[in-house]
Amino acid sequence: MGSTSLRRWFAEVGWRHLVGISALVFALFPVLFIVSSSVNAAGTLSGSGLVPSEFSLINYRELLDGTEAPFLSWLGNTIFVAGGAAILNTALAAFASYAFSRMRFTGRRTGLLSILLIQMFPTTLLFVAMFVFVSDIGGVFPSLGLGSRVMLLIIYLGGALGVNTWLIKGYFDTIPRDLDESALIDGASHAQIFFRVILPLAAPILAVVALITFVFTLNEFLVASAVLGQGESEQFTLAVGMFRFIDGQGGEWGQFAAGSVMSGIPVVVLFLFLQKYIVSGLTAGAVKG
Amino acid sequence: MIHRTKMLLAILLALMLVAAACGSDDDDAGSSADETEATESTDDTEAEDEAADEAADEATEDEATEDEDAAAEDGAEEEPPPVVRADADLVIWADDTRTPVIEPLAEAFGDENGVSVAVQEVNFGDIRDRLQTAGPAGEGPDVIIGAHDWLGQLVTSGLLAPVDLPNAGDFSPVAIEAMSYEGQLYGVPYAIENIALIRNVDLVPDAPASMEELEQVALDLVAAGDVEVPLAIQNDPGDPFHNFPLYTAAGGYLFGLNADGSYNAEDLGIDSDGGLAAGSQFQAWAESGLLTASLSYDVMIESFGQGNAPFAITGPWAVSDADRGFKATGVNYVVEPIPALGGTTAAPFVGVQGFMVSANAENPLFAQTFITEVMSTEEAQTGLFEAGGRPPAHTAAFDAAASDPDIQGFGEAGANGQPLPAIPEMGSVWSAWTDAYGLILSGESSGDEAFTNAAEQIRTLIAEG
Amino acid sequence: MSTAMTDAGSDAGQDQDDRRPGTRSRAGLLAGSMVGLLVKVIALGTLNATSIWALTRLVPAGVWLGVAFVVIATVAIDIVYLSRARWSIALKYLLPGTLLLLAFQVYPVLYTAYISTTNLGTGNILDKEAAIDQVVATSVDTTGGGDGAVSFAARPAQAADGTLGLLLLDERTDPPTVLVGTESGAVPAVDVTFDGDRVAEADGFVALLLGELADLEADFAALEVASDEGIIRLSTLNRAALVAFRLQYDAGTDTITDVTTGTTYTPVEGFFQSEAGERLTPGWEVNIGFENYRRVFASEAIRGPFLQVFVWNWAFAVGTVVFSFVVGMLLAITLDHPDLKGKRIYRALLIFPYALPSFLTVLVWQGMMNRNFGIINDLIGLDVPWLTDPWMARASVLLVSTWLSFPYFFLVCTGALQSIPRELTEAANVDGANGRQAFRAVTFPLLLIAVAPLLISSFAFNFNNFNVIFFLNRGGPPIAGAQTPAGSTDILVSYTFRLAFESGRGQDLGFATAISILIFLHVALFSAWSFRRTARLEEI
Repeated sequence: MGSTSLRRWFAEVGWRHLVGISALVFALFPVLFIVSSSVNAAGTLSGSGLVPSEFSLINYRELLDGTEAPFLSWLGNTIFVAGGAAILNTALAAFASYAFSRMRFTGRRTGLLSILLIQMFPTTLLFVAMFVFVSDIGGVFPSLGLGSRVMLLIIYLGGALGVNTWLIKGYFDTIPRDLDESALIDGASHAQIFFRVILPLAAPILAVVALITFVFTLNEFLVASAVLGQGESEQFTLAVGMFRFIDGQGGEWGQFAAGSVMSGIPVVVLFLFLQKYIVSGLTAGAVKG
Repeated sequence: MIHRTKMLLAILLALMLVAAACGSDDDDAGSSADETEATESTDDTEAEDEAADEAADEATEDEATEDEDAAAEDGAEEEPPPVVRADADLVIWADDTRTPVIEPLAEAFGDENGVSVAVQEVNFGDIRDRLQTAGPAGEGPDVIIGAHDWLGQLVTSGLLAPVDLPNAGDFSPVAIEAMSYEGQLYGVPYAIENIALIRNVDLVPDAPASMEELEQVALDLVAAGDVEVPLAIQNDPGDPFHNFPLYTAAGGYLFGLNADGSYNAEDLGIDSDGGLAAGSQFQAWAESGLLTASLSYDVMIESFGQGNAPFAITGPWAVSDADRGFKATGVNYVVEPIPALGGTTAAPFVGVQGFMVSANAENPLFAQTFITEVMSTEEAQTGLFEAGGRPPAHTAAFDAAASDPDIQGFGEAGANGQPLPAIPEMGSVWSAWTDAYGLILSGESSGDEAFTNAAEQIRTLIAEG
Repeated sequence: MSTAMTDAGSDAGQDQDDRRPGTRSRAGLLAGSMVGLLVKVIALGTLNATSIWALTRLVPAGVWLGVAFVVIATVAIDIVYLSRARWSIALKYLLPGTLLLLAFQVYPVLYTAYISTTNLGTGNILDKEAAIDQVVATSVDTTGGGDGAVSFAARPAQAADGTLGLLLLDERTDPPTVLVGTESGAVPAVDVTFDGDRVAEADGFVALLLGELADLEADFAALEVASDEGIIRLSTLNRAALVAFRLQYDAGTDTITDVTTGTTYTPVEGFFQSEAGERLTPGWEVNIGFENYRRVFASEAIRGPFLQVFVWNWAFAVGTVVFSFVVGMLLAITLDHPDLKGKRIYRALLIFPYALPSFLTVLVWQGMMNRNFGIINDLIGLDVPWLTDPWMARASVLLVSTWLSFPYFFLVCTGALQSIPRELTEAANVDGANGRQAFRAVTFPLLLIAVAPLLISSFAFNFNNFNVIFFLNRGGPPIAGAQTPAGSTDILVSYTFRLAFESGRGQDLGFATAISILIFLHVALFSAWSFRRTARLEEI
């Protein structure tokens, strides 16, 4: 490789590595700190450095053997709630986006705007209403009352129409209508166009929305603690359960760090799995509008 | 087409009926399963707006949350028999330190009286806020543990029932007084706690006779490079609770007293002559380096625990913390009263914790019987002491516990103390005063300015309510 | 919302993309539609069944709002999914999400709005009836009017006819007298059986044994024996006391009277109040109209450092969105190059700040930024006041919030970039545009259209991003000389909620919700306005 081609390589690709590496440093510095505390036997918030002073997996072991907290139940609940919310919310949002993108009806613009605005209410105070609401529901349907992770999932479904709908709708808008029309000529119904034409082409954005919803649900804390806070600790999600590790000051910092690392893993795994959908699709040449 | 529609509706109707039948069965099964399922611990965390409140109230909550580790291990070993609220006649909310002690006593009580009992684990600091939402909604417990300074808020909201305690004479009068609000007793106290001076005996063999001497010794050790932190006292950025003994030693008071000995919210002492003198003293301490604005609980407990600070001003929770506590790290320490400054005594806040009965208790008689006849005994109080490491409120239990030099030290330090005010106006004090200490310690304001301003802020907030 | 949806039915004439089903020509499509029909029938059947079952619970419980919602929702779903009319097509796609939105987003917001018109908060959380009970109950006097407390060893008992009574041992006499207390009074017992030193039976009343008490507990708790000396009632299961209530409620006049002083208290704004203005606690929750809103505007405390907080709030929200969008977008574009090796790894690792729970990572940042003991100052060997200097603290807050949310935009932009056909940028390149020009002319505008709504919504989210502000620095450092406690990095939510929860009264939920409604309106109006502007851009 001559110096000219090296220079060209740098101009075209190489500098991207430089940017990428600096971004990684920025992004991962605190993460490294957390990982290091999680494998540090004497892990504390202020006492930890970037390199563990005393390497040990004790925090992970204590967490996983469940003596201090039903960590594995929390993980299971979180995957249930976050996974369920990711799949169902993405589906509901995709349905709505199809209507918003492909159909014209009165109230369409108002509807689009409203679903976005309603979600701007500061959730910090919504938890009072949520608590009373779920407690009332529990009065009539005991299995859906406070402490029910199923109820939590249902509540999250209420947020399906919102910014995610905008995201998917925006993507649908870029899918050429010619495709719908040619399917129509082939005798397809609106449902068939949606499922067989639009959805496959929108894989990148559906994957992004599913991931965003998954992460949001995983980290959501206020509503989760209003709904689950007084139930059985086996029903907690990670966010609610892990918060007790650092609630107040002091606390089990090392275990908290270990729990956080482990709760981050499902997200990264999911991302790796979805990545090929996120960066595929239209560029692959499916669209020859 | 019509035919098809009819058929569709018929199928639909049939399905509906079948599903309706199954549906209701399902639910019955579901809810009964629900009832037999396990609830052994509830640990809840609070929403952010509550967190703001907690921040203000950190004084009491620190006390409670910091010792979580202490009993975590004990609590984890035995999984108690599961019970849920719907099934239990007596539901108790306690933190994870107290739960393992209360649980066997509560179960014995339950067996004796033929009632089912559930002890639910709730973070100490959350109990008060949870009770306010859950109590009136019928989701609350019969008995809670709580701090005496919650009384103002809980009683004015109508959430607690008066308690008739025949053996009140067995308790420290201070504790009974603290558990009373407007002449009515609202709880059975189990612990009295306050902060004290903790000294590293290896670094400083003799107790300093005064704050002046303490400052000198501490700064000399820092200058000599023996330690990094002269005095491990929480200030992040400021901490009215932990600074209070120093504030009183420097001549300040918080609220004046009414004729009957209760606190008078009209008489705020932060900008009195004594208060302002104390402000200047804090400024002097900040300038000399004795106090610093970014000393968190973590730094406090680690620096002293690792021998990196000659003195700490903190409470029993820092001694008994399972992993990082001074007992656990093996640092050679002694607990003693905080020395006077210029002859003026240092008075820490004294907090009392106790059992209270919810006004919305489903079974108030069981609750009253349990707390006044079971938890008020010397054995129960000693058990709670052994779990939480705080001096018992029961006099005989305290005397037994005082053979432990730590308890004796905290007891002596507390003898000079003042009860943490339980009046609702106290809620207006924390954040303004925290800010003032933060400004002084970071050098942004002079002691005079900061305290004068804090007093004005507090008066505005009280008037606002 | 609901208007939007029902309106949808009345005018579907412009719907160009849908056609009536039923003219399917291909076998495959027909088979597909049969499966679809089956799914539809089963789903609707289950739904209707669930609704009917839910109604069997809701109606007896008298939850009429719930009944109305279930009935309307079910009927709407049945009509929409069974209808073959054109107007129903859009609704078929919108209805499920909309109903969930109404139930779990709109309703809680409306409920919160309702709270803002009440005095709900410390001192006023009960209903009136419970408050009266509590006022009377806490006025209990067990000291027997100053003559010393009178208490009895007591046992709950029951007669053969089911009448409840108390077996009382009055030890003031020698030997002790056994009394049988019932609702009608306390009478000395004639025929007494002892069990050790406890009374086992007296005049036909048998002491209840273990396990028999659980069901009768409430009855015994309410049992008041009207003796000549006063009311005797159980303090515990083993003890009764002679009690008097200082305060008494008269339902006829709706007043409470202090029997020791004769003062009467009448209900005023959720409290019983004497003529002199003395209030009895607890009070109860009442509707106070727009009083909370009036207080927000009249409050001296709120007006204090309001302007400074307000300006910083805007700067924080806009700054966070701009920084994290720019960082996320540039990274997405940089890493979206076909020849770049390892981009999968870059992408996966860049997700990390987003994947970890934010309350944890913010706390980690707080620890790292500690001036004296934090790792950042340790590493760089400087004494940077990251969180203690007002301007540094603001910068630190922005840094952390950018760190938290740039992966979101990175992710979204990476996804959105896929919708921009590479041919377009290539065409631009062919036309002689260099990379930057192609980006400015083609990629960026298209990207902006895709993410504009997200930017606005992210702005709204960050405008109220309490977590970052609170967990990083609790709004600090404090503003010196402020009229009320306020911090340099406080935003409206954190600042005003502090006021609402720390004012003299304790927690003031009505006031806090009024504030959050106002903040919501402010943000929503701004967002709606910016939508109108971007809407023109993209013709939604």
